[in-house]
Amino acid sequence: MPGFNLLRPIGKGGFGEVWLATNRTTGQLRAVKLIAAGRAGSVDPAGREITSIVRLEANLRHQHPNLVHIHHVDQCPGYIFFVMDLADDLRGGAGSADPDYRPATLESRLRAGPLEPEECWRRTGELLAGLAALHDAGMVHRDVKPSNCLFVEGELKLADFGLLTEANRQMSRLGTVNYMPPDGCMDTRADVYAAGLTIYEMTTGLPATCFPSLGELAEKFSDDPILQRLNRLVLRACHSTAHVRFENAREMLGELTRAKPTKPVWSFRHRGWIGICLACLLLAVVLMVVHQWPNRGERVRVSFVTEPFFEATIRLDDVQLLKSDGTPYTTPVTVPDLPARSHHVVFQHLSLPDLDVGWVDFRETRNVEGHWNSEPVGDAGELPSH
Amino acid sequence: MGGKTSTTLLERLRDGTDQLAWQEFSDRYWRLIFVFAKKRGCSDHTAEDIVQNVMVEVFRERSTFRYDRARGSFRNWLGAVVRNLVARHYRAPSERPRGQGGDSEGDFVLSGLQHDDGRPEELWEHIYEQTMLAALLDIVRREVAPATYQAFELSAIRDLSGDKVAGITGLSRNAVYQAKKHVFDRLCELGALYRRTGQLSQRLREAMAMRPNGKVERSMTARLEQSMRSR
Repeated sequence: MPGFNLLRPIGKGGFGEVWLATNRTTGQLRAVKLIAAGRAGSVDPAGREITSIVRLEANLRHQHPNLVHIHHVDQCPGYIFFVMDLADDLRGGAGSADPDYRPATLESRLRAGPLEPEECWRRTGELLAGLAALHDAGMVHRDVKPSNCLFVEGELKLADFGLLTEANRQMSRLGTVNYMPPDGCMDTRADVYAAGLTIYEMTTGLPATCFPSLGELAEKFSDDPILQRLNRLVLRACHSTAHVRFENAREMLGELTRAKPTKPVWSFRHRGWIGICLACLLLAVVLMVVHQWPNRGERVRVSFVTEPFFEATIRLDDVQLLKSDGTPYTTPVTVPDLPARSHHVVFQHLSLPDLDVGWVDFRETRNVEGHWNSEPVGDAGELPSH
Repeated sequence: MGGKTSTTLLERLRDGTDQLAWQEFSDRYWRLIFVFAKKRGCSDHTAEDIVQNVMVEVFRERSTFRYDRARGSFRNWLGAVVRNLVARHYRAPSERPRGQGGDSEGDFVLSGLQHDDGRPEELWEHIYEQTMLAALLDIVRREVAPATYQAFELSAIRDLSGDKVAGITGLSRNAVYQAKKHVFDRLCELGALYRRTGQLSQRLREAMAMRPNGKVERSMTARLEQSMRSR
């Protein structure tokens, strides 16, 4: 191979092998991807890969720190090859010629379990930054997944541009099945979907096929604000309906950076004036409420929930709550426009004893819950329950 | 809850090149086989091996198996294959405990059976039922919005409060309860039992608890993909 000594294979992709190699002149270690040239059949992986790299170089003005750098493209008898950044060692530290060296990909790291929340946040930012650079340049990756995320000098970089293409709606449905959106449209939103699943795997350690289950980490998610924010990001990115997802990685990255709280940079003097203005405003509102609207009864929205049985009807002060069409409200439900005062609340259910919740003041409580402890009695036919 | 293997799927499996059919088959059954092997005393690694060996066996026998009501269902046949492979594995020299001189082959097989809760056939049926319930849940998981399914799982199976689920998913508390009801209704439409006595939650929890953990999910997903590519 011109300029490089191939040492040993370190990875395998869909269309080629990745080798550990040294530059004969400088001794520098690199990763070299070999793709067989001129394979028979309708798919020419070498040709496709070259086209993708040409697009990448043409559309990206500068190298991006979160995209694997391709140093050199060349050919040797029977193959084309790409010289790339060498991934860090999975055990830690830089890549080396050590016989125990294993390239650190996100996939190989996730075999040990999910990443810690702070690291998930950081790696999410890195992944989306790299992907956003591609989207900004009018390209779509089409194969975002943990095995195509490498760690180089401690930073996550998106790799494998073999399926890279210009963003348009006529793109072929190519990529990895488990990371493809159900709508089948392979545009920037498809990359967003795949990135969302990759982030899901980072936070849960579960494969993409388990999405959106949180498995045994549910309690951990409920206690950790970082995991909660990442989860909400993922839920939107991986929505089954395309138009609900982020349009591209730049929008998703914007949502991520908006989500993490930052301290506003205000001077003490500014804070003082703003505080005074807010106090005046509050006073004005209170005065209006107390003095200007003495005869207007306040109305509020209240949610009613019953466990473990649903579809209970609701009696307020011995009167069943009815909708405008005359049918009763049934739990779980939010009822608008209720008087903001104390009410006597009773839930009623087929073949269950009435559940008397007692007096509830709707000025203070907007969520009323009732819980039946007893089993149903008699044969009531179909009982909407769980 | 039926859970019969469709004749169409069996016919598609006979075509060894129908990747989607084999994907569907392995998705449907690998956890059942894995859990059964674990209940019979196998380690995670051994149970994974047994899953792969069963898949190879089914692939090998795909042309000879014929759905015959008189002989019993496909799941009974599969159960027999799995039980034989587990028993065969216990008879292999590598599984025998070291330093226990004098164990006969029969004794070792018996010691494996001591991990059972009962007869193997009954254990198979019990695990089958739980796996099928989990499979119904998988169907609904793919149908509904991700936040809806997640809200259901966190509240109904993991028993988190409405407030906590709202915090994780970004839904309102009311939407959490609506999501829970929607998924339960859908499960019942698909045939999930235990509705009237309010035991569906409990049954789902048992079914989910039986599922392999995250590491095994990841490992088996990769192994099954690899073996399908190599066919």
